[in-house]
Amino acid sequence: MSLPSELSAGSVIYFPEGVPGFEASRRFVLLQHGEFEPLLLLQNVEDESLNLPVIPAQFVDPTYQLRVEAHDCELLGFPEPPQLGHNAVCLLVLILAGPGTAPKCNLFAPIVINPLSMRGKQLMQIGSSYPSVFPLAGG
Amino acid sequence: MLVFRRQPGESFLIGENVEVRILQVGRGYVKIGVIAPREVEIYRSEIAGLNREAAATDWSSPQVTQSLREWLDLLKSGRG
Repeated sequence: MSLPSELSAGSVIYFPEGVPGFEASRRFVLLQHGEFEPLLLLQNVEDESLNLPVIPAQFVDPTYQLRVEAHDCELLGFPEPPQLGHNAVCLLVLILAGPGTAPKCNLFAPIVINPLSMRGKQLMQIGSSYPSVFPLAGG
Repeated sequence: MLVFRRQPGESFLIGENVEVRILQVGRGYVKIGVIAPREVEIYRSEIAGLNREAAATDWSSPQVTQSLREWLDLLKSGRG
């Protein structure tokens, strides 16, 4: 897979609240990481050295259950709770740094993008059993 | 750092609009309730830390690229 089909390359995605840890960073683009497809890079427009490696949730868990609260639907411009893979892009942050360097991903807080409004937010899946640090097979 | 004691059921305020209540204290955990306006974003602090870790990926590290490549190979072969 390349870029999620709902998103065109180079389109700016606006994060009204920034991203936790980088709250001042509001505008990002999604870039393909050719060597490590289907991994993508969420790159800040103002600071290209800020890159978050992400992967579509379906690649990690084809049954991933996304929950979007009403106020987040409003923020992202979803008229009703979105369907993963239909009208919402759901990306998991990959943690490749740190001790051991075995790949891990954050299932608890996916980055959700509405390709129609081009707005995004990292959404906590409160009440779910998804862990924030999920070791990936092969790591 | 401000340090003070609270009992379960007691709370404290941060500014005028955010109330933090201690709901339950168990073995090795504290259950906390937060009452805040919708525009105040609340998230576990480790999420920001994980994002910073992710952004700090050293793509020049052979360990990083090798373990990533191994995982992606597993993923593509349907075993990941």
